[in-house]
Amino acid sequence: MSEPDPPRPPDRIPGVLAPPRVGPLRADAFPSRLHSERNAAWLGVALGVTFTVCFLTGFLSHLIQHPPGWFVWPSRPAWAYRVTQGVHVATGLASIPLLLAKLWTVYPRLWTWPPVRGVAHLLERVSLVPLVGGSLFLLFSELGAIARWYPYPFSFPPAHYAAAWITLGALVVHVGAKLGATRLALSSRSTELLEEGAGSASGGLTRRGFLVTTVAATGLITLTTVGQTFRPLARFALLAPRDPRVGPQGFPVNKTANRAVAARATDPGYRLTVEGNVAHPLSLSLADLRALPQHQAVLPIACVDGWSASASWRGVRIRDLLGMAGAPHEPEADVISLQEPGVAYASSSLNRSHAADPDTLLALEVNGEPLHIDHGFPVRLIGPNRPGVMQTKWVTKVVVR
Amino acid sequence: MNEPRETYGRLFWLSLVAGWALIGFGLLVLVQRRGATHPVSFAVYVLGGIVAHDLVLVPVVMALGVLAARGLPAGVRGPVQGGLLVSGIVVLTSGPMVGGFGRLADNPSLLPRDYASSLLLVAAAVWAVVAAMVAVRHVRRLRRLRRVRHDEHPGAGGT
Repeated sequence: MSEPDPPRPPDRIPGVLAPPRVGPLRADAFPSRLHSERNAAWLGVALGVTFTVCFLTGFLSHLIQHPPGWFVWPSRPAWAYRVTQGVHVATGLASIPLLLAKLWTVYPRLWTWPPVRGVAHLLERVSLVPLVGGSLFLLFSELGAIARWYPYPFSFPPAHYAAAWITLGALVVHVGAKLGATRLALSSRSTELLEEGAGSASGGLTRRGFLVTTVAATGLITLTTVGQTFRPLARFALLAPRDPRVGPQGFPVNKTANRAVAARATDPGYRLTVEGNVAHPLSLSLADLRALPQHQAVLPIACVDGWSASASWRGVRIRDLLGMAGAPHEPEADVISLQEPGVAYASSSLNRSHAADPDTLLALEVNGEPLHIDHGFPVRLIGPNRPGVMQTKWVTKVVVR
Repeated sequence: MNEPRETYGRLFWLSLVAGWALIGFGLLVLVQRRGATHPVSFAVYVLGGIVAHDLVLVPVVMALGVLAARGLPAGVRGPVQGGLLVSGIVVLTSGPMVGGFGRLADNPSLLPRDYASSLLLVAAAVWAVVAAMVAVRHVRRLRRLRRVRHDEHPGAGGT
Protein backbone atom coordinates (compact mmCIF):
# COMPACT_ATOMS: atom_id res chain seq x y z
CA MET A 1 0.00 0.00 0.00
CA SER A 2 2.93 2.36 0.63
CA GLU A 3 4.44 1.59 -2.76
CA PRO A 4 4.25 4.47 -5.23
CA ASP A 5 1.50 4.10 -7.82
CA PRO A 6 2.67 2.81 -11.18
CA PRO A 7 2.70 5.51 -13.83
CA ARG A 8 -0.76 5.97 -15.30
CA PRO A 9 -1.29 5.75 -19.04
CA PRO A 10 -1.74 9.17 -20.61
CA ASP A 11 -5.27 10.55 -20.31
CA ARG A 12 -5.04 12.31 -23.57
CA ILE A 13 -4.83 11.18 -27.14
CA PRO A 14 -2.13 13.47 -28.51
CA GLY A 15 -3.65 16.41 -30.30
CA VAL A 16 -7.09 15.95 -28.74
CA LEU A 17 -8.28 18.31 -26.05
CA ALA A 18 -8.59 16.60 -22.66
CA PRO A 19 -12.30 16.27 -21.86
CA PRO A 20 -13.64 16.77 -18.35
CA ARG A 21 -13.29 13.55 -16.35
CA VAL A 22 -16.20 13.45 -13.94
CA GLY A 23 -18.17 10.74 -12.12
CA PRO A 24 -17.13 7.24 -13.14
CA LEU A 25 -14.66 8.69 -15.65
CA ARG A 26 -12.43 10.05 -12.85
CA ALA A 27 -9.12 8.22 -12.64
CA ASP A 28 -9.79 7.27 -9.00
CA ALA A 29 -13.52 6.55 -9.36
CA PHE A 30 -13.21 2.88 -8.40
CA PRO A 31 -10.71 2.59 -5.55
CA SER A 32 -11.78 -0.88 -4.35
CA ARG A 33 -9.02 -3.45 -4.53
CA LEU A 34 -11.72 -5.98 -5.45
CA HIS A 35 -11.64 -4.73 -9.05
CA SER A 36 -8.72 -7.08 -9.41
CA GLU A 37 -7.11 -8.39 -12.57
CA ARG A 38 -6.34 -11.68 -10.88
CA ASN A 39 -9.97 -12.17 -9.84
CA ALA A 40 -11.14 -11.16 -13.30
CA ALA A 41 -8.83 -13.81 -14.73
CA TRP A 42 -9.96 -16.56 -12.34
CA LEU A 43 -13.63 -15.75 -12.91
CA GLY A 44 -13.00 -15.60 -16.65
CA VAL A 45 -11.47 -19.08 -16.64
CA ALA A 46 -14.40 -20.42 -14.59
CA LEU A 47 -16.95 -18.84 -16.94
CA GLY A 48 -15.03 -20.15 -19.94
CA VAL A 49 -15.52 -23.65 -18.56
CA THR A 50 -19.18 -23.26 -17.55
CA PHE A 51 -20.18 -21.55 -20.80
CA THR A 52 -18.45 -24.27 -22.83
CA VAL A 53 -20.33 -26.94 -20.87
CA CYS A 54 -23.62 -25.06 -21.35
CA PHE A 55 -22.99 -24.60 -25.05
CA LEU A 56 -22.10 -28.26 -25.69
CA THR A 57 -24.99 -29.70 -23.65
CA GLY A 58 -27.40 -27.15 -25.11
CA PHE A 59 -26.32 -27.84 -28.68
CA LEU A 60 -26.67 -31.58 -28.01
CA SER A 61 -30.24 -31.03 -26.79
CA HIS A 62 -30.91 -29.00 -29.94
CA LEU A 63 -29.55 -31.82 -32.16
CA ILE A 64 -31.66 -34.41 -30.36
CA GLN A 65 -34.84 -32.39 -30.85
CA HIS A 66 -34.04 -31.22 -34.40
CA PRO A 67 -31.82 -34.01 -35.75
CA PRO A 68 -30.03 -33.34 -39.04
CA GLY A 69 -29.69 -36.36 -41.34
CA TRP A 70 -26.27 -37.38 -40.04
CA PHE A 71 -27.30 -37.39 -36.39
CA VAL A 72 -28.89 -40.46 -34.77
CA TRP A 73 -29.23 -40.04 -31.00
CA PRO A 74 -28.91 -43.53 -29.46
CA SER A 75 -31.45 -44.89 -26.98
CA ARG A 76 -28.65 -45.96 -24.63
CA PRO A 77 -27.48 -45.26 -22.01
CA ALA A 78 -30.98 -44.54 -20.71
CA TRP A 79 -29.74 -41.82 -18.32
CA ALA A 80 -27.56 -39.83 -20.74
CA TYR A 81 -30.01 -37.02 -21.57
CA ARG A 82 -31.07 -36.76 -17.97
CA VAL A 83 -27.44 -36.06 -17.08
CA THR A 84 -26.56 -33.75 -19.98
CA GLN A 85 -29.66 -31.60 -19.59
CA GLY A 86 -29.45 -31.61 -15.78
CA VAL A 87 -25.85 -30.43 -16.15
CA HIS A 88 -26.92 -27.81 -18.72
CA VAL A 89 -29.42 -26.14 -16.40
CA ALA A 90 -27.38 -26.59 -13.21
CA THR A 91 -24.29 -25.12 -14.91
CA GLY A 92 -26.32 -22.19 -16.23
CA LEU A 93 -27.62 -21.46 -12.73
CA ALA A 94 -24.12 -21.83 -11.26
CA SER A 95 -22.86 -19.33 -13.85
CA ILE A 96 -25.08 -16.52 -12.57
CA PRO A 97 -22.93 -15.62 -9.53
CA LEU A 98 -19.77 -16.13 -11.58
CA LEU A 99 -21.00 -13.77 -14.31
CA LEU A 100 -22.19 -11.10 -11.88
CA ALA A 101 -18.91 -11.28 -9.94
CA LYS A 102 -16.91 -11.08 -13.15
CA LEU A 103 -18.85 -8.10 -14.50
CA TRP A 104 -18.55 -6.31 -11.16
CA THR A 105 -14.81 -6.95 -11.07
CA VAL A 106 -14.19 -5.47 -14.52
CA TYR A 107 -16.83 -2.73 -14.22
CA PRO A 108 -14.24 0.12 -14.09
CA ARG A 109 -13.17 -0.89 -17.61
CA LEU A 110 -16.58 0.21 -18.85
CA TRP A 111 -15.54 3.79 -18.06
CA THR A 112 -11.99 3.44 -19.35
CA TRP A 113 -10.48 6.63 -20.76
CA PRO A 114 -9.93 7.25 -23.59
CA PRO A 115 -12.87 5.00 -24.56
CA VAL A 116 -11.15 3.81 -27.71
CA ARG A 117 -7.44 3.44 -28.27
CA GLY A 118 -7.34 2.27 -31.85
CA VAL A 119 -9.06 -0.02 -34.31
CA ALA A 120 -8.30 -3.29 -32.48
CA HIS A 121 -9.46 -1.86 -29.16
CA LEU A 122 -12.64 -0.57 -30.79
CA LEU A 123 -13.39 -3.99 -32.31
CA GLU A 124 -12.68 -5.69 -29.01
CA ARG A 125 -15.03 -3.34 -27.15
CA VAL A 126 -17.79 -3.63 -29.76
CA SER A 127 -17.56 -7.42 -29.38
CA LEU A 128 -18.29 -7.00 -25.67
CA VAL A 129 -21.86 -5.92 -26.49
CA PRO A 130 -22.93 -9.39 -27.71
CA LEU A 131 -20.81 -10.99 -24.98
CA VAL A 132 -22.27 -9.13 -22.00
CA GLY A 133 -25.79 -8.77 -23.45
CA GLY A 134 -25.88 -12.34 -24.69
CA SER A 135 -24.57 -13.81 -21.42
CA LEU A 136 -27.04 -11.88 -19.26
CA PHE A 137 -29.86 -12.75 -21.67
CA LEU A 138 -29.03 -16.48 -21.77
CA LEU A 139 -28.69 -16.90 -18.01
CA PHE A 140 -31.62 -14.77 -16.88
CA SER A 141 -34.09 -15.87 -19.58
CA GLU A 142 -33.22 -19.48 -18.69
CA LEU A 143 -33.76 -18.69 -15.01
CA GLY A 144 -37.26 -17.45 -15.87
CA ALA A 145 -37.97 -20.28 -18.30
CA ILE A 146 -37.35 -23.06 -15.77
CA ALA A 147 -40.11 -21.42 -13.71
CA ARG A 148 -42.16 -21.16 -16.92
CA TRP A 149 -42.00 -17.37 -16.88
CA TYR A 150 -41.69 -15.92 -20.38
CA PRO A 151 -42.16 -12.14 -20.06
CA TYR A 152 -41.36 -11.38 -23.71
CA PRO A 153 -43.08 -11.72 -27.10
CA PHE A 154 -40.54 -14.09 -28.71
CA SER A 155 -40.46 -17.85 -28.35
CA PHE A 156 -37.89 -19.00 -25.79
CA PRO A 157 -36.22 -21.98 -27.57
CA PRO A 158 -35.22 -20.30 -30.87
CA ALA A 159 -34.26 -17.06 -29.09
CA HIS A 160 -32.12 -19.04 -26.64
CA TYR A 161 -30.56 -20.93 -29.55
CA ALA A 162 -29.69 -17.79 -31.53
CA ALA A 163 -28.39 -16.04 -28.38
CA ALA A 164 -26.16 -19.04 -27.65
CA TRP A 165 -24.37 -18.77 -31.02
CA ILE A 166 -24.05 -14.99 -30.68
CA THR A 167 -22.62 -15.31 -27.17
CA LEU A 168 -20.27 -18.14 -28.17
CA GLY A 169 -18.89 -16.04 -31.02
CA ALA A 170 -18.37 -13.05 -28.74
CA LEU A 171 -16.68 -15.35 -26.22
CA VAL A 172 -14.25 -16.56 -28.88
CA VAL A 173 -13.30 -12.93 -29.65
CA HIS A 174 -12.92 -12.19 -25.94
CA VAL A 175 -10.69 -15.20 -25.28
CA GLY A 176 -8.53 -14.24 -28.24
CA ALA A 177 -8.16 -10.72 -26.87
CA LYS A 178 -7.58 -11.68 -23.24
CA LEU A 179 -5.64 -14.95 -23.27
CA GLY A 180 -2.28 -13.26 -22.77
CA ALA A 181 -3.51 -10.91 -20.05
CA THR A 182 -5.24 -13.81 -18.27
CA ARG A 183 -2.06 -15.93 -18.29
CA LEU A 184 -0.05 -13.05 -16.91
CA ALA A 185 -2.60 -12.21 -14.20
CA LEU A 186 -2.69 -15.84 -13.04
CA SER A 187 1.07 -16.32 -13.08
CA SER A 188 3.30 -15.80 -10.07
CA ARG A 189 4.69 -12.75 -11.89
CA SER A 190 1.38 -10.94 -11.45
CA THR A 191 2.18 -7.46 -10.16
CA GLU A 192 -1.04 -7.55 -8.16
CA LEU A 193 0.20 -10.54 -6.19
CA LEU A 194 3.44 -8.75 -5.40
CA GLU A 195 1.66 -5.58 -4.30
CA GLU A 196 -0.76 -7.45 -2.09
CA GLY A 197 -0.06 -6.86 1.60
CA ALA A 198 -0.27 -9.54 4.27
CA GLY A 199 -3.42 -8.21 5.90
CA SER A 200 -6.30 -6.03 4.90
CA ALA A 201 -6.15 -2.43 6.03
CA SER A 202 -9.87 -1.67 5.95
CA GLY A 203 -11.09 -4.98 7.35
CA GLY A 204 -13.49 -5.28 4.43
CA LEU A 205 -13.71 -8.13 1.98
CA THR A 206 -10.28 -9.14 0.69
CA ARG A 207 -9.55 -10.09 -2.89
CA ARG A 208 -9.54 -13.77 -1.95
CA GLY A 209 -12.60 -13.22 0.25
CA PHE A 210 -14.49 -11.91 -2.77
CA LEU A 211 -13.62 -15.05 -4.75
CA VAL A 212 -14.57 -17.29 -1.83
CA THR A 213 -17.88 -15.42 -1.53
CA THR A 214 -18.57 -15.95 -5.22
CA VAL A 215 -17.81 -19.65 -4.95
CA ALA A 216 -20.05 -19.85 -1.86
CA ALA A 217 -22.94 -18.22 -3.76
CA THR A 218 -22.42 -20.64 -6.65
CA GLY A 219 -22.40 -23.60 -4.25
CA LEU A 220 -25.50 -22.38 -2.43
CA ILE A 221 -27.48 -21.92 -5.64
CA THR A 222 -26.43 -25.38 -6.80
CA LEU A 223 -27.26 -26.99 -3.46
CA THR A 224 -30.73 -25.40 -3.35
CA THR A 225 -31.68 -26.30 -6.94
CA VAL A 226 -29.81 -29.39 -8.17
CA GLY A 227 -32.12 -31.68 -6.16
CA GLN A 228 -34.71 -31.14 -8.89
CA THR A 229 -32.78 -33.67 -10.94
CA PHE A 230 -30.39 -35.28 -8.41
CA ARG A 231 -32.80 -37.08 -6.13
CA PRO A 232 -30.53 -37.58 -3.09
CA LEU A 233 -30.51 -33.78 -2.73
CA ALA A 234 -34.25 -33.35 -3.39
CA ARG A 235 -34.97 -32.21 0.15
CA PHE A 236 -32.44 -29.39 -0.19
CA ALA A 237 -34.02 -28.17 -3.44
CA LEU A 238 -35.66 -25.29 -1.60
CA LEU A 239 -35.39 -22.86 -4.49
CA ALA A 240 -35.86 -25.29 -7.41
CA PRO A 241 -38.95 -24.84 -9.58
CA ARG A 242 -39.70 -28.56 -9.30
CA ASP A 243 -39.51 -31.30 -6.73
CA PRO A 244 -38.99 -34.71 -8.38
CA ARG A 245 -41.19 -36.26 -5.66
CA VAL A 246 -44.17 -33.91 -6.11
CA GLY A 247 -46.94 -34.36 -8.68
CA PRO A 248 -49.68 -36.77 -9.61
CA GLN A 249 -48.50 -40.37 -9.04
CA GLY A 250 -45.36 -39.05 -7.34
CA PHE A 251 -43.57 -37.00 -10.00
CA PRO A 252 -44.01 -33.62 -11.75
CA VAL A 253 -46.04 -32.71 -14.81
CA ASN A 254 -44.83 -30.24 -17.41
CA LYS A 255 -47.95 -29.91 -19.54
CA THR A 256 -51.40 -30.70 -18.20
CA ALA A 257 -54.34 -32.00 -20.24
CA ASN A 258 -56.62 -29.21 -21.39
CA ARG A 259 -60.38 -29.81 -21.51
CA ALA A 260 -60.45 -30.85 -25.19
CA VAL A 261 -57.58 -33.32 -24.77
CA ALA A 262 -59.13 -34.76 -21.59
CA ALA A 263 -62.46 -35.27 -23.39
CA ARG A 264 -60.83 -37.12 -26.29
CA ALA A 265 -58.59 -39.14 -23.97
CA THR A 266 -61.50 -40.43 -21.87
CA ASP A 267 -63.83 -41.05 -24.85
CA PRO A 268 -64.82 -44.77 -24.87
CA GLY A 269 -64.34 -44.68 -28.64
CA TYR A 270 -60.58 -44.05 -28.19
CA ARG A 271 -58.43 -45.92 -30.70
CA LEU A 272 -54.70 -46.22 -31.19
CA THR A 273 -53.84 -46.64 -34.84
CA VAL A 274 -50.59 -47.84 -36.39
CA GLU A 275 -50.40 -46.76 -40.01
CA GLY A 276 -48.11 -45.41 -42.71
CA ASN A 277 -45.49 -47.72 -44.18
CA VAL A 278 -46.97 -50.96 -42.75
CA ALA A 279 -48.40 -54.18 -44.22
CA HIS A 280 -51.37 -54.41 -41.83
CA PRO A 281 -52.57 -51.12 -40.33
CA LEU A 282 -53.83 -51.54 -36.76
CA SER A 283 -56.68 -49.93 -34.88
CA LEU A 284 -56.68 -50.91 -31.21
CA SER A 285 -59.01 -50.04 -28.35
CA LEU A 286 -57.73 -49.55 -24.82
CA ALA A 287 -58.92 -53.12 -24.00
CA ASP A 288 -57.00 -54.45 -27.03
CA LEU A 289 -53.84 -52.70 -25.82
CA ARG A 290 -54.25 -54.09 -22.32
CA ALA A 291 -54.61 -57.60 -23.78
CA LEU A 292 -51.23 -57.36 -25.57
CA PRO A 293 -48.01 -58.57 -23.85
CA GLN A 294 -47.00 -55.95 -21.29
CA HIS A 295 -43.44 -54.95 -20.52
CA GLN A 296 -42.11 -53.06 -17.51
CA ALA A 297 -39.22 -50.53 -17.42
CA VAL A 298 -37.89 -48.00 -14.95
CA LEU A 299 -37.13 -44.87 -16.95
CA PRO A 300 -36.68 -41.17 -16.19
CA ILE A 301 -38.72 -38.28 -17.46
CA ALA A 302 -35.94 -35.79 -18.17
CA CYS A 303 -37.32 -32.33 -18.87
CA VAL A 304 -35.51 -29.72 -20.98
CA ASP A 305 -36.07 -27.42 -17.98
CA GLY A 306 -33.49 -29.46 -16.06
CA TRP A 307 -35.62 -31.53 -13.68
CA SER A 308 -35.94 -35.28 -13.91
CA ALA A 309 -37.73 -38.09 -12.12
CA SER A 310 -37.67 -41.85 -12.53
CA ALA A 311 -40.81 -43.94 -12.56
CA SER A 312 -41.76 -47.54 -13.20
CA TRP A 313 -43.66 -47.75 -16.49
CA ARG A 314 -45.70 -50.67 -17.90
CA GLY A 315 -47.10 -51.01 -21.37
CA VAL A 316 -46.71 -52.34 -24.89
CA ARG A 317 -43.33 -52.34 -26.61
CA ILE A 318 -43.25 -50.09 -29.67
CA ARG A 319 -41.19 -52.67 -31.55
CA ASP A 320 -43.85 -55.36 -30.83
CA LEU A 321 -46.58 -53.09 -32.23
CA LEU A 322 -44.51 -52.23 -35.29
CA GLY A 323 -43.82 -55.95 -35.79
CA MET A 324 -47.55 -56.78 -35.53
CA ALA A 325 -48.31 -54.12 -38.14
CA GLY A 326 -45.66 -55.52 -40.47
CA ALA A 327 -43.35 -52.50 -40.50
CA PRO A 328 -40.17 -52.70 -42.60
CA HIS A 329 -36.76 -53.59 -41.16
CA GLU A 330 -35.25 -50.84 -38.93
CA PRO A 331 -38.36 -48.66 -39.01
CA GLU A 332 -38.68 -45.06 -37.91
CA ALA A 333 -41.98 -43.59 -36.78
CA ASP A 334 -43.84 -40.45 -35.73
CA VAL A 335 -45.87 -40.68 -32.55
CA ILE A 336 -48.87 -38.37 -32.60
CA SER A 337 -50.93 -37.05 -29.72
CA LEU A 338 -54.61 -36.26 -29.27
CA GLN A 339 -53.59 -32.58 -28.95
CA GLU A 340 -54.57 -30.18 -31.71
CA PRO A 341 -52.13 -30.64 -34.61
CA GLY A 342 -49.60 -27.82 -34.76
CA VAL A 343 -49.50 -27.39 -30.98
CA ALA A 344 -45.90 -27.46 -29.76
CA TYR A 345 -44.71 -30.98 -28.95
CA ALA A 346 -47.96 -32.62 -30.12
CA SER A 347 -45.88 -35.29 -31.82
CA SER A 348 -42.38 -36.71 -31.70
CA SER A 349 -40.17 -38.89 -33.85
CA LEU A 350 -38.67 -42.26 -33.03
CA ASN A 351 -35.39 -42.83 -34.84
CA ARG A 352 -34.35 -46.40 -35.64
CA SER A 353 -32.45 -46.74 -32.36
CA HIS A 354 -35.39 -45.64 -30.19
CA ALA A 355 -37.96 -47.59 -32.24
CA ALA A 356 -35.98 -50.83 -31.78
CA ASP A 357 -35.21 -50.40 -28.07
CA PRO A 358 -36.96 -53.05 -25.92
CA ASP A 359 -37.72 -50.39 -23.29
CA THR A 360 -39.42 -47.94 -25.64
CA LEU A 361 -43.05 -48.35 -24.61
CA LEU A 362 -46.52 -47.09 -25.20
CA ALA A 363 -47.15 -47.01 -21.47
CA LEU A 364 -50.57 -47.66 -19.97
CA GLU A 365 -49.50 -47.65 -16.33
CA VAL A 366 -47.02 -45.87 -14.11
CA ASN A 367 -45.97 -46.89 -10.61
CA GLY A 368 -48.66 -49.62 -10.63
CA GLU A 369 -51.64 -47.42 -11.62
CA PRO A 370 -53.28 -46.41 -14.89
CA LEU A 371 -51.69 -43.15 -16.08
CA HIS A 372 -53.04 -39.94 -14.56
CA ILE A 373 -54.64 -37.79 -17.26
CA ASP A 374 -51.81 -35.24 -16.85
CA HIS A 375 -49.24 -37.99 -17.34
CA GLY A 376 -50.87 -38.91 -20.66
CA PHE A 377 -53.84 -41.25 -20.08
CA PRO A 378 -54.73 -43.52 -21.78
CA VAL A 379 -51.34 -44.08 -23.48
CA ARG A 380 -48.06 -42.22 -23.53
CA LEU A 381 -44.74 -42.76 -25.21
CA ILE A 382 -41.87 -43.41 -22.80
CA GLY A 383 -38.42 -44.41 -23.96
CA PRO A 384 -34.88 -44.40 -22.65
CA ASN A 385 -32.61 -41.40 -23.21
CA ARG A 386 -35.17 -38.94 -24.60
CA PRO A 387 -36.04 -35.33 -23.69
CA GLY A 388 -39.34 -35.10 -21.81
CA VAL A 389 -40.90 -33.06 -24.63
CA MET A 390 -40.35 -36.08 -26.90
CA GLN A 391 -42.13 -38.48 -24.53
CA THR A 392 -45.44 -37.73 -26.27
CA LYS A 393 -48.56 -37.97 -24.09
CA TRP A 394 -52.16 -38.91 -25.04
CA VAL A 395 -50.92 -40.97 -28.01
CA THR A 396 -53.49 -41.83 -30.66
CA LYS A 397 -51.45 -42.55 -33.76
CA VAL A 398 -48.13 -44.12 -34.75
CA VAL A 399 -47.14 -43.36 -38.34
CA VAL A 400 -44.37 -45.61 -39.66
CA ARG A 401 -41.94 -44.08 -42.16
CA MET B 1 -7.59 -1.85 -11.69
CA ASN B 2 -4.75 -0.69 -13.88
CA GLU B 3 -5.44 -0.50 -17.55
CA PRO B 4 -2.96 -2.82 -19.24
CA ARG B 5 -1.55 -1.91 -22.61
CA GLU B 6 -3.21 -4.43 -24.86
CA THR B 7 -1.11 -6.19 -27.40
CA TYR B 8 -3.30 -7.42 -30.21
CA GLY B 9 -1.49 -10.28 -31.87
CA ARG B 10 -2.39 -12.75 -34.57
CA LEU B 11 -4.54 -14.73 -32.12
CA PHE B 12 -6.80 -11.71 -31.59
CA TRP B 13 -7.39 -11.13 -35.29
CA LEU B 14 -8.05 -14.85 -35.91
CA SER B 15 -10.49 -15.06 -33.04
CA LEU B 16 -12.14 -11.83 -34.17
CA VAL B 17 -12.90 -13.33 -37.58
CA ALA B 18 -13.96 -16.73 -36.20
CA GLY B 19 -16.03 -15.16 -33.42
CA TRP B 20 -17.89 -12.78 -35.70
CA ALA B 21 -18.59 -15.67 -38.08
CA LEU B 22 -20.34 -17.44 -35.18
CA ILE B 23 -22.13 -14.23 -34.19
CA GLY B 24 -23.20 -13.89 -37.81
CA PHE B 25 -24.64 -17.41 -37.75
CA GLY B 26 -26.59 -16.55 -34.59
CA LEU B 27 -27.94 -13.39 -36.21
CA LEU B 28 -28.86 -15.42 -39.30
CA VAL B 29 -30.87 -17.87 -37.16
CA LEU B 30 -32.51 -14.90 -35.49
CA VAL B 31 -33.57 -13.37 -38.83
CA GLN B 32 -34.49 -16.63 -40.56
CA ARG B 33 -36.81 -17.55 -37.68
CA ARG B 34 -38.03 -13.98 -37.15
CA GLY B 35 -41.65 -15.12 -36.83
CA ALA B 36 -40.66 -16.85 -33.57
CA THR B 37 -37.66 -14.81 -32.46
CA HIS B 38 -39.01 -11.24 -33.00
CA PRO B 39 -35.50 -9.81 -33.65
CA VAL B 40 -36.36 -6.23 -32.67
CA SER B 41 -37.79 -7.16 -29.30
CA PHE B 42 -34.95 -9.69 -28.83
CA ALA B 43 -32.45 -6.87 -29.36
CA VAL B 44 -34.34 -4.66 -26.89
CA TYR B 45 -34.06 -7.38 -24.24
CA VAL B 46 -30.37 -8.07 -24.91
CA LEU B 47 -29.38 -4.39 -24.88
CA GLY B 48 -31.81 -3.66 -22.04
CA GLY B 49 -30.05 -6.32 -20.00
CA ILE B 50 -26.75 -4.47 -20.42
CA VAL B 51 -28.32 -1.15 -19.43
CA ALA B 52 -30.12 -2.66 -16.42
CA HIS B 53 -26.92 -4.34 -15.25
CA ASP B 54 -24.42 -1.54 -15.91
CA LEU B 55 -26.50 1.48 -14.94
CA VAL B 56 -28.80 0.07 -12.24
CA LEU B 57 -27.59 -3.16 -10.63
CA VAL B 58 -23.88 -2.38 -10.30
CA PRO B 59 -24.29 1.20 -8.98
CA VAL B 60 -26.81 -0.03 -6.40
CA VAL B 61 -24.49 -2.88 -5.30
CA MET B 62 -21.53 -0.50 -5.08
CA ALA B 63 -23.50 1.99 -2.99
CA LEU B 64 -24.57 -0.77 -0.60
CA GLY B 65 -20.98 -2.06 -0.42
CA VAL B 66 -19.68 1.41 0.48
CA LEU B 67 -22.39 1.83 3.15
CA ALA B 68 -21.56 -1.58 4.63
CA ALA B 69 -17.86 -0.71 4.65
CA ARG B 70 -18.41 2.67 6.36
CA GLY B 71 -21.00 1.79 8.94
CA LEU B 72 -19.49 -1.36 10.40
CA PRO B 73 -16.55 -2.12 12.71
CA ALA B 74 -13.54 -3.66 11.00
CA GLY B 75 -13.93 -7.23 12.25
CA VAL B 76 -17.51 -7.43 11.02
CA ARG B 77 -17.12 -5.70 7.70
CA GLY B 78 -15.76 -8.53 5.51
CA PRO B 79 -18.24 -11.22 6.57
CA VAL B 80 -21.18 -8.81 6.30
CA GLN B 81 -20.15 -7.72 2.80
CA GLY B 82 -19.87 -11.40 1.85
CA GLY B 83 -23.26 -12.12 3.42
CA LEU B 84 -24.84 -9.23 1.53
CA LEU B 85 -23.39 -10.45 -1.76
CA VAL B 86 -24.56 -14.05 -1.29
CA SER B 87 -28.01 -12.93 -0.08
CA GLY B 88 -28.37 -10.53 -2.98
CA ILE B 89 -27.53 -13.20 -5.54
CA VAL B 90 -29.90 -15.70 -3.91
CA VAL B 91 -32.72 -13.12 -3.86
CA LEU B 92 -32.09 -12.36 -7.52
CA THR B 93 -31.97 -15.99 -8.67
CA SER B 94 -34.99 -17.03 -6.60
CA GLY B 95 -37.05 -14.13 -8.02
CA PRO B 96 -38.99 -16.14 -10.62
CA MET B 97 -39.78 -18.79 -7.98
CA VAL B 98 -40.72 -16.40 -5.16
CA GLY B 99 -42.71 -14.21 -7.56
CA GLY B 100 -44.44 -17.27 -9.01
CA PHE B 101 -45.09 -15.37 -12.26
CA GLY B 102 -45.30 -18.60 -14.27
CA ARG B 103 -47.60 -20.38 -11.87
CA LEU B 104 -50.45 -22.33 -13.50
CA ALA B 105 -53.70 -22.99 -11.67
CA ASP B 106 -54.08 -26.49 -13.12
CA ASN B 107 -50.47 -27.61 -12.48
CA PRO B 108 -49.57 -27.65 -8.77
CA SER B 109 -46.40 -29.69 -9.49
CA LEU B 110 -44.89 -26.55 -11.05
CA LEU B 111 -43.44 -24.30 -8.32
CA PRO B 112 -44.69 -26.66 -5.60
CA ARG B 113 -43.16 -24.87 -2.60
CA ASP B 114 -43.73 -21.76 -0.55
CA TYR B 115 -40.67 -20.03 -1.96
CA ALA B 116 -40.83 -16.97 0.28
CA SER B 117 -40.38 -19.24 3.32
CA SER B 118 -37.66 -21.18 1.48
CA LEU B 119 -35.82 -17.95 0.73
CA LEU B 120 -36.03 -16.85 4.38
CA LEU B 121 -34.66 -20.21 5.46
CA VAL B 122 -31.73 -20.00 3.02
CA ALA B 123 -31.04 -16.39 4.04
CA ALA B 124 -31.11 -17.43 7.71
CA ALA B 125 -28.51 -20.10 6.96
CA VAL B 126 -26.32 -17.53 5.15
CA TRP B 127 -26.48 -15.07 8.06
CA ALA B 128 -25.83 -17.84 10.57
CA VAL B 129 -22.56 -18.50 8.73
CA VAL B 130 -21.80 -14.75 8.75
CA ALA B 131 -22.45 -14.61 12.52
CA ALA B 132 -20.22 -17.64 13.08
CA MET B 133 -17.41 -16.03 11.09
CA VAL B 134 -17.70 -12.79 13.07
CA ALA B 135 -17.68 -14.76 16.33
CA VAL B 136 -14.59 -16.76 15.33
CA ARG B 137 -12.74 -13.59 14.36
CA HIS B 138 -13.71 -11.95 17.63
CA VAL B 139 -12.49 -14.88 19.72
CA ARG B 140 -9.22 -15.00 17.77
CA ARG B 141 -8.68 -11.26 18.30
CA LEU B 142 -9.34 -11.58 22.05
CA ARG B 143 -6.85 -14.46 22.30
CA ARG B 144 -4.25 -12.47 20.42
CA LEU B 145 -4.78 -9.47 22.72
CA ARG B 146 -4.50 -11.65 25.82
CA ARG B 147 -1.29 -13.20 24.52
CA VAL B 148 0.18 -9.76 23.85
CA ARG B 149 -0.75 -8.61 27.37
CA HIS B 150 0.72 -11.80 28.81
CA ASP B 151 3.95 -11.26 26.89
CA GLU B 152 4.19 -7.68 28.17
CA HIS B 153 3.63 -8.61 31.82
CA PRO B 154 4.95 -12.13 32.32
CA GLY B 155 4.06 -13.54 35.72
CA ALA B 156 1.09 -11.19 36.19
CA GLY B 157 -1.29 -13.90 34.99
CA GLY B 158 -1.72 -15.33 38.51
CA THR B 159 -0.10 -18.72 38.00
